[in-house]
Amino acid sequence: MSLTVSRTVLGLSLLALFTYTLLAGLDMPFRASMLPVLASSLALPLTLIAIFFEWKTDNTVKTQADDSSGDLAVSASEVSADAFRRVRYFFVWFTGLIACAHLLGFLVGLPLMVLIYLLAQKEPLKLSIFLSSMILVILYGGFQKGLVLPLPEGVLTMMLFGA
Amino acid sequence: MSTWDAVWAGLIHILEPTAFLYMMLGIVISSTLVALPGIGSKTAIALLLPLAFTLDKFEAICLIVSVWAVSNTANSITSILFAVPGGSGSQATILDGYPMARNGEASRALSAAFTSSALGGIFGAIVLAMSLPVLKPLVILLGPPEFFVLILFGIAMVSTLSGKNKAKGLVIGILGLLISSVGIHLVSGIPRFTFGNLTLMDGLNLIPVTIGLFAIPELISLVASGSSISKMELNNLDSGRRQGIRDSFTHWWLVIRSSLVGVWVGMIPGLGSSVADWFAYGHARATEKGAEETFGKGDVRGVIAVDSATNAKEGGSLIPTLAFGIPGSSTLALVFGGLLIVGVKPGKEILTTHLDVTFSFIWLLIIASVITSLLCIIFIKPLAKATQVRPTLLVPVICAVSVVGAFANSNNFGDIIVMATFGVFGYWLRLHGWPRPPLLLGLVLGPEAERHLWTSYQLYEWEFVLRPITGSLLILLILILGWPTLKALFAKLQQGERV
Repeated sequence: MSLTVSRTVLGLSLLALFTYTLLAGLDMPFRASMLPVLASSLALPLTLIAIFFEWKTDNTVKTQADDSSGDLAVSASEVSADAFRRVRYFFVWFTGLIACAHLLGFLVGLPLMVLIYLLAQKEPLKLSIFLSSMILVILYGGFQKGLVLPLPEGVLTMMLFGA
Repeated sequence: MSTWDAVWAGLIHILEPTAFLYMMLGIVISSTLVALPGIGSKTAIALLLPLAFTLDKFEAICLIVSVWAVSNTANSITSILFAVPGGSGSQATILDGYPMARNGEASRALSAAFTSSALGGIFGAIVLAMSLPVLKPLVILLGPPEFFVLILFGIAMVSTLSGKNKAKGLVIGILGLLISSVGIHLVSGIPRFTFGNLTLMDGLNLIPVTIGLFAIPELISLVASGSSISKMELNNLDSGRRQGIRDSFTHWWLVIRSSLVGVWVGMIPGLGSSVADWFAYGHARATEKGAEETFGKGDVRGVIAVDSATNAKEGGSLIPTLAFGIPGSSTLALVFGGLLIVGVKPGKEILTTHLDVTFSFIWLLIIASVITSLLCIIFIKPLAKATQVRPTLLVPVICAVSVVGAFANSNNFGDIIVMATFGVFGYWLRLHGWPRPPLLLGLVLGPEAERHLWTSYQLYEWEFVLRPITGSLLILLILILGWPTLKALFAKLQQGERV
């Protein structure tokens, strides 16, 4: 998907979202609907204005001039074909990370996926094992024991080995 | 409680051993995380907030406020050493800091930056303390309609200062308000935008949304750029520390003036760090002797002006936050959200019956600024090395911690899905120049906005917008929002007359 298409889809998605919130808000009792209806009514014309100004400007990739609010501009290297390829791989890995946490549990899934990422990035084996072990130490020592946070078992491990 | 009792009690609260320990932990983690490439102050706060919720009130305050208060200090390292801004507030530091580093004065520039940061932080805290007697009567004067419009004002200000297409910022700010309304409406019991999903019934929590919105897109950005600053040369860091510290005290008048600029910028909701640093740099360039010739070529005064302003800004930004509950920036919105969750509610109470809490903030600003600057000066080398950590090592580790952080908030796996969804959405927004900070502000202020809106309606119906202060604020808001359009219209009309 090209950047122009992606940009248009984003604008239109917001427009659709605000239309939905307005219509859903109108169906709610008055007190519950006040904020959603008021906010959506303001957001709809503003989104149209924002999309209009986007279309008026040229189609070259613009960097974000949002430095006043704490964001740095998107650099040119982040929007190259190579960058998008790396981002796609990241999304696949990130989905795997969440899936592994769900299936194998936090204590197994997260260190395992960290190890896989590091090895895939051709980091030295010893360093990769060390960092993955550190994650395990942080999870078990810091969160599970230190903060008394019960980290969930994996769905798959529960099925295979029981609770 | 008298003011002096509150001053004393505020100090005692943060000097309690465990509270002090959490302040130190906040300082060390914040400085290290901010020094790491691609990890901003918002990410640092978002990752630490889950820990704060397990602590008692003052311990949590110490952790949250110290993480925020010192987040600008370590930013200067990458700016000075590699000409890569560590955050939006350290962009102007590059102008003179980097040439100094190239001239072999990196250590002097860094020490001057850290010392000025501490002095600016102290100055900001003093101004905050001095403003309290003025704020108290002002806050008591305001009612729900005024507070509702002030919240809109705060969101609009942050939104309008985010790029050329201001409508984008406003849309995202409103989206934040709408996201805050997701879940069961507490008064009517009506589920709003929940689609029958149990996770959404409780509403969207601040932590997973923030981690998703700010930490994940930054990590994606690190992955996308594919390079680090690690290949760059680390300049000489052995000598010049004392000279840098001396420089800040020699130019004390510049420190005070720049800090005043910082406080002023901080007090106006929406004007962020980067505005403070450029304003201060411009002011120093215009007023300092011989600056026209030396600024931009490695003049230590350029570094001092910027760093004292960016840290003084924090004290100034606490003024509208504590008094009116309007965070002056998105980072402060995150701090504000965290404080609300641990039971600190800005407004009348914090300026009257709980004045000791306010003075804890002031003491924290002072003590944390000084300790951070000292630690940064002592540990210049390890911090400089931290900036060279490869992104390939950072990304998986921070992702794993983010997943646990999102889960820790409510022990609900659904929050991890919320984090991932907002991570993708945040990346999408960032890619196309839609600002993310207004969303956070809308999300944090949404429940208060809704409460004040309903109370105002009950008291005055829609006529609440006609009350003097409310009406004036609304007119001011419309003027600020409409000014660029009006200006363009006048210019066109004038051109037409000439033709």
